[in-house]
Amino acid sequence: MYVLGWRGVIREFFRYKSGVVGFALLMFLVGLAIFAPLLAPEPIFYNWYVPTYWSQQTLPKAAPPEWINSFSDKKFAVRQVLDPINSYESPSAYNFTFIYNYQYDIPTYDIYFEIDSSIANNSKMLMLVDLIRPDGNKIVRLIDLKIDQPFVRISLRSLEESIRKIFGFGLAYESEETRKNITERGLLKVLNPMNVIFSSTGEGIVFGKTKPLKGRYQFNVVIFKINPSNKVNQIKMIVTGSVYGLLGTDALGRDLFGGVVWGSRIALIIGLGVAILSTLIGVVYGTISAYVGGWVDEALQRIQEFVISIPVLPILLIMAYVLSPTVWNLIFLLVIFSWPGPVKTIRSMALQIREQLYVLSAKAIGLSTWRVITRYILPQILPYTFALVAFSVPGAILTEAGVSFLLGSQGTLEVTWGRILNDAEKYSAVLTGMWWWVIPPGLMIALAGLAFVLVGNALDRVLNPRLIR
Amino acid sequence: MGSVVDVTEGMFFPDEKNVMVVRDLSKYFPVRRGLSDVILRRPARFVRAVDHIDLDIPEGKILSLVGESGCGKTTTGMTLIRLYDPTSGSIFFEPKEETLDKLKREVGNLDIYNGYIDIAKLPAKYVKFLRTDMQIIFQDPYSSLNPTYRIYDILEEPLKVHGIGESEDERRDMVLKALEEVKLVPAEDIAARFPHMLSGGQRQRVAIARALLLNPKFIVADEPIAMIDVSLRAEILLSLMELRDKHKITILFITHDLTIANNISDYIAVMYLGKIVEIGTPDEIVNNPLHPYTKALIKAIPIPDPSMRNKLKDIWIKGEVPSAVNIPSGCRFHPRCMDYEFHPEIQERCRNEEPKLIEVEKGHYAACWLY
Repeated sequence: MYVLGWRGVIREFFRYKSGVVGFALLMFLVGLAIFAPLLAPEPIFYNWYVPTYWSQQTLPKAAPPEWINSFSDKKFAVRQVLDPINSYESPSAYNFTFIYNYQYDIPTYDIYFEIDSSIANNSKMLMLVDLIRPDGNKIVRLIDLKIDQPFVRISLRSLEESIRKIFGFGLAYESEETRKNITERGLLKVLNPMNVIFSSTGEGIVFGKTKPLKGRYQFNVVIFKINPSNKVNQIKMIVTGSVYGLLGTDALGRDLFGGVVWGSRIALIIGLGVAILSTLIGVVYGTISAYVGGWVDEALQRIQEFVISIPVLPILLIMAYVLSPTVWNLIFLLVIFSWPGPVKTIRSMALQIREQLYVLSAKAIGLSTWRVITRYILPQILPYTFALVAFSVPGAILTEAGVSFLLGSQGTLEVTWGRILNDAEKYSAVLTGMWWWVIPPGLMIALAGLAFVLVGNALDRVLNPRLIR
Repeated sequence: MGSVVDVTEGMFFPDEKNVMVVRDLSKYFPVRRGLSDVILRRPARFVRAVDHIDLDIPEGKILSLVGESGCGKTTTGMTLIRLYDPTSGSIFFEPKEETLDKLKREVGNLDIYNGYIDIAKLPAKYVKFLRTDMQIIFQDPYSSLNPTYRIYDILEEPLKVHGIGESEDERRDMVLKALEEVKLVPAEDIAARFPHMLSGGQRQRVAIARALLLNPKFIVADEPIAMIDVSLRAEILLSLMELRDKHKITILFITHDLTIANNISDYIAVMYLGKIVEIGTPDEIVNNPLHPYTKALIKAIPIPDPSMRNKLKDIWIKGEVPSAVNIPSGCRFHPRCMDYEFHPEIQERCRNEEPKLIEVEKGHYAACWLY
């Protein structure tokens, strides 16, 4: 066996295309994992499964990614945060005017008002919003609400009274029959009120079937002080838009880009952790088995064959369910089942090396078994274990994804690609055409697997003594 | 205890003091049995690589063990220094005094026969104490050195393992001195290299230097020149002879080449299929071979005479070496023996009874029913 230095190994490695591509993919994944806090704020990771956090984020729900506007001829409304263009304070009330210039085909998911105010104890303010559409139609008292807290975030879609008003406006344009149909069958709940606001008048407005009404939408907000010491410090109108970010949002309004980015961290930790630990165990196990030989070898091989023939997934699911399903427990469980993977290969390599004369001459010098294994056999196998590690990462990542997917909320507490897919399945993302919820995490799992397989292939060619040309 | 003393005195070389006396030594390797063999309860089979041999190894001499490949000579060498555990028999060996002291301290019930111990019965965990006394030089210098070690580390390792040398510096001096002794100069330069940066001859000398560093009294040289360029062979042979003459080291020289054995050794033992068939001085073995196998070996030596080149040599042997698993009955050489053909009167004996080594002429032993 000839010896390549580290530099030689690196040079050889990059002579293979698969090595270059695999390395690039790997660097991409590692970059995602390392720079996750810069790419997506940390609270996304900690609060992925905290609904209250996501309701505060005022993100559209089930929104496709922003860049879809470049490919689709129907334009989606984008997120806008508007300040009042006009504000006027009288002794009894505030007047604010917001202008929203709507030039899209698909309306925003929701509209929020954020009001930061100072309110005297046990007092309240009254907020009224009138909407003037570009076609001159008005929806008076679109919002009619009491404000009794210093900070409120009002979601238009969550106000039942407002929705009734919006549909009332829309239904006026529908035929008698449709109106009856809708009210009797309670269809209003499944219709999108935003379609009514942002569509031109005519039959079909409540279904959003009329043309989109483009132009300036004016929201006149009046806040009555009631108690003269009450004050509005700031008011903002947030148009969530109907697209969001690089990868869109899921049905709960979570930023999928953040989930995918942070998921790469978990995937790499689990993948590399399991691969390194199990390969290490497998290598030592296989080497000892080969070198010691005899009945020890027999016994160790039978144990290995027993463990490797256990159907892993069902047992993993049960054990992950019983143990508290942290990432570390999952790594531990995966290692328990994946260490036998490299044993046979390593054993056969060690058997070959064991028969080398220099091992016999080491014995002739009087070296202990332990020293022969650690100094003579393992150093020869070590380079190849890098290839083995690379090969066993995809399996670990896939199994983790599988376990997370199947266990869902009973699985890991952290956001992983598998759990994102589990959520997607739960909300039937595929059936409702929410491809951005399914493809990115699925693709990332595939890419991570591909990266390590390519790197492993190149390393294998460079380091596996039987493949060295 | 009289009989025991007799055993260690040896039986082949009455004028010599023996460093090692081998009696009835066997080394069998089990043939792996398949499942069907186990189910059908076929008896376990063995490769009888070394089959009940007797041998004396005289101190400070070179004894050559000659035989064709596969006859068990390498196995014999490895078993003698306990690289293999013998199947049965005794190997009486006289260790260095300090080694004997160490063994006395470590081993609970050590039987000592007149300064000799039976290393065949020594438990495996104590065998490492013998390493300072007996060493081996392998045939293939290309694979006998750890490719991941530098020459310096290869040579320093035996010292470290046996706690020889007080300090790093002292060990360094010993290593460099050993390299100079086998004429690998500049020693500093050689020590920094990896094995693959040396030629075959140089590597073999590294292997000799490593064996010497532990200051052994007995070295097994297993065909040390077989894989070395012809031009460098003489040098290796000369350094082996120097070991004998300068350091009084006993050498068991294993070779298939009777001419080399004739040139360097004091005694020759001829081996056939796990059995020693003839023992004597080189002079007697070459000029007056007794065993038909030895005769065949000598007839096979090419004669450097151009006038002979058109003559077919008559070959004094037939057939192929039988497998060591199925050894022929009686004299194991009889299926290939030419004398067997010409002596019908002993044929039945040859087929059924195994001949013993007997002193045919003074100091010349052979195992054949002809005598």
